[in-house]
Amino acid sequence: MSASAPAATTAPALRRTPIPRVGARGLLRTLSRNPSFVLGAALIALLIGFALVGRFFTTYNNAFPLSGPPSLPPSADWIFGTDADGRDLFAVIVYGSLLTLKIGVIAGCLGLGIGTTLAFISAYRGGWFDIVLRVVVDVLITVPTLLVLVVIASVIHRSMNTTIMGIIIALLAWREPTRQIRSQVLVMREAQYVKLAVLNGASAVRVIFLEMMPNLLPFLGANLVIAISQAVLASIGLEALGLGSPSEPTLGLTIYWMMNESAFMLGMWWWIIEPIAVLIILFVGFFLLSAGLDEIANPRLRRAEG
Amino acid sequence: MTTPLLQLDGAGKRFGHVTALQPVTLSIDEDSAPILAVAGESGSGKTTLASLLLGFLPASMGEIRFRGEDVASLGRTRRLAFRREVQAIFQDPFAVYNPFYRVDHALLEPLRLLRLARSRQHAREMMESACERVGLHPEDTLGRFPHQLSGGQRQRLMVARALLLRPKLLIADEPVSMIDASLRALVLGSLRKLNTELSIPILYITHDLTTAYHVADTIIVLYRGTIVEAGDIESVIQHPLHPYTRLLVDSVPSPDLDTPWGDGRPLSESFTKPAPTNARGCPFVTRCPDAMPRCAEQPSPLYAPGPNQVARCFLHDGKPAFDESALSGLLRFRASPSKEKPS
Amino acid sequence: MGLHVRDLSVTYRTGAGPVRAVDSVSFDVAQGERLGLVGESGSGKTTAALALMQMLQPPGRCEGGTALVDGTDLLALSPPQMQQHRLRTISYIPQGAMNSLNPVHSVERQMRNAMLDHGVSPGRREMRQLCITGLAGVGLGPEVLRRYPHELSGGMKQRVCIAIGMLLGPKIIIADEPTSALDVVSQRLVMETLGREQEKSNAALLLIGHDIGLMAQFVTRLAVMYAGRLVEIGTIRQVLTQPRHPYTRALIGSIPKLRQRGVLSGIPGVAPSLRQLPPGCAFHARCTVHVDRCLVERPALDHDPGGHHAACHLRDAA
Repeated sequence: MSASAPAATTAPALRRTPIPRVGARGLLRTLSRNPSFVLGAALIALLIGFALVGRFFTTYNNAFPLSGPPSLPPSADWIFGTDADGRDLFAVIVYGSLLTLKIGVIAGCLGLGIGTTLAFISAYRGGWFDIVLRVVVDVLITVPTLLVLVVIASVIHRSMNTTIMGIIIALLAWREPTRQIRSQVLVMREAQYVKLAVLNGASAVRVIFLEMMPNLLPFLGANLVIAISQAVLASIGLEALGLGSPSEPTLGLTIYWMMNESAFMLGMWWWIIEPIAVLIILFVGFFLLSAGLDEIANPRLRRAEG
Repeated sequence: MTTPLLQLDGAGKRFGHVTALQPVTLSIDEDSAPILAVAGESGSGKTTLASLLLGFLPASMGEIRFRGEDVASLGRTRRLAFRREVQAIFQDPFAVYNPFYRVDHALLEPLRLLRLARSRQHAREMMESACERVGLHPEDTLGRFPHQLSGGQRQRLMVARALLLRPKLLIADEPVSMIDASLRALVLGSLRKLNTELSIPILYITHDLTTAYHVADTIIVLYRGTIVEAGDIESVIQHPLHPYTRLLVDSVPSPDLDTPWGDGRPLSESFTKPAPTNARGCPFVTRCPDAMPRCAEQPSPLYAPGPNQVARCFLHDGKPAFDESALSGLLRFRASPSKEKPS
Repeated sequence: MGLHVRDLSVTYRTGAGPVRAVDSVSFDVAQGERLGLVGESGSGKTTAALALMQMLQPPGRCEGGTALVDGTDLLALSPPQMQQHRLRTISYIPQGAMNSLNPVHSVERQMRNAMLDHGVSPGRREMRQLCITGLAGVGLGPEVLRRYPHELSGGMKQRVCIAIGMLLGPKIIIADEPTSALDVVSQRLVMETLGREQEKSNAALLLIGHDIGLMAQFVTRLAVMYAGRLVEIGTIRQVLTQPRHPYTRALIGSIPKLRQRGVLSGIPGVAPSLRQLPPGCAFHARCTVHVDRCLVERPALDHDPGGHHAACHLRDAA
């Protein structure tokens, strides 16, 4: 049968689908259909929103001692009450939340940035760099995070502030992301579209940033959220031990004072519940966010046709 | 004599203890444009050969040279020239497109990086005309995401990409094995057009002898990394010299009810035995119905019982020996003075 | 005796509306007979097979039809009942070279699990004997019992899948593209093995695939599917030498032969999207001999006295 039949033109042509399923816009659409992501994002947004709006109702100085009568339970004048040193807890929560988040973000971004760079170089180029890095990461991963952080923090105790704490935590935050991203890149490197890109004349940098990275974004996003979440946890740990920045009212510091000033024994339930509630919202939000991103990163979404 | 475009000089590949490809010597000239089929089953080394030629794998033995220079040590400009002149079509029409981008990306990237278009407008025109030449409507194909096109369309778009880039050599690695039978003709037809209209030599790698028979001029049959037979495709398929080739041809299921598999004889029991563990003799010895004791001791050289065909088998001992370096001429990659290429 | 399928229909409920993947398909496979089912991607052949095994995954659902084996309608059984019938009455052999075998279990463990999962639990020694016999039937020695899938070649994995499929002596065997990922020689070996085992047990075999050459060498009857519908069925000789449906004719015409070098031809156009099936015949847009009636009226499978049925308005237009 010859291949010249005119019937071909009456075959129904593929309709243009209005919105693409992958690509930047498609990503947003899939995100909105993802309940974990939406809920997680909502919680975090709520918290940040509260902190930003709250600034209009109080000042930074109120987060310090002697802003008001001490040990007041929540009332009309002091919505969140005051602590044993007279800090307005509303101000403390408003400013402290963002400060704690700031540490997390600095540490998370820095840690992920370092991790991604090392992972890509290691997995894509291979060779001695990969071997050395693998050994280093495998050894460092066994190092207990809090221990190292405690040592470093107590050495520089006096000059500690939130930024520096973020940097210190980042020094250890890169280990797990490096490992995970390296594995992903090793797999991606064998993808046919990567081979095609090499055939196109693409340089290693172009392949990494233009071909592999976009497909890795959800995965990187999930890793970032986890890194931030873990950094916040580490900072709370340090601060609760009294190694945090003495001059910035972070949530961890609040917990330190709360413990040291025997809030439990004095029955000051508001001082206990408030920072912990914020932390719960924070961690649950981060967890849901990363779970949502994980769903997208799952290759199940990639292959749409049989 | 001009430097050949691409040259395999005793190039072979080892993975640990396993030799995936025994040393091959082949020269591909620019002015000869045959379609060479490289046939073999999985593990035969055909994919390794493609990876070596494309510079994806370094050779363990010998050298691969692009216009005289070792492919492993090409500088930036020479490497771009290599990419401009040696291109490929891969097997999986889905995996070859980056799912994050529209299909245009696979065509625009090389145009941009290899500096083949004068402007964005020019690139667009080139892409549209290439689509039309392979029978695709640009408005139905370009601008879409990979999953919005069928397998046949995606693969034809890959052929369009090859057309666009006008390479001097195209390596097609099982281009139709993942496409429906009724759509294969279209893709293979486009490949043939590429060869006849633009004089681009094609290396057609496949396990399917039937499509090779219809598309290619010459053929190499690989078995576990060794070239067991080579030559003019009509001769090799109709009169196979090597027992493995004969087995392959007999095992192709024919849609003709009066031509049963292997003339109705079942596959001999010897075929279920494992491959030989020693690498000294012929790799096919444990399964060969005509194996002789010497087959296990030493590898056979190439014999040429006729002008168009060679086989690596002691069954043809006594016939004229064939020098490996003359393979290129036999496969018509070099215009040899004693033979006219039949049209 | 044998398998009798009537009006099998499967629908996928997708976000964009219901899609009829299998539309009123009927056929019979007698005991000891081999029926081939050919179709290209999207034709619904694998979906039909999975429906018969009650192995469809949502959003796919069997929406009608009967599948009688010895008076029992497989489609009407409850899941636990079907579990008892799987492997013992009807078994499904998938593409073994793909991920059909569990990579972390040895061959013996998988064969044992197959027996246990389907209600057969003889003693340990007896089970081992059954496994060894099963493997021997497909030409594999007892040493394979200890191996893991990654240690086996594609052909060997496929033969293990056949062995598992035939362990409990099923009356009906569905082999779904068992040799797609294999080279021609392994393919021939696997098919010879399958054929031998099928003849020994006199099972009814349904072979699903897209390679008509393979069908010609193996089956006694052939059915052709297009866009979820059965368009032609008859003996292999009838369908191959005198195809009555234009799609079958085009398909046969597009098969390249190894003995004649000629022009390769395909079927122009694309198969219609199952979401937007045209009214009337699904093939009319690509059909070279269609008439106006084909656009509006869907042809039904006729009742040819010779057993060679086709679903086409122009039944005998040569």
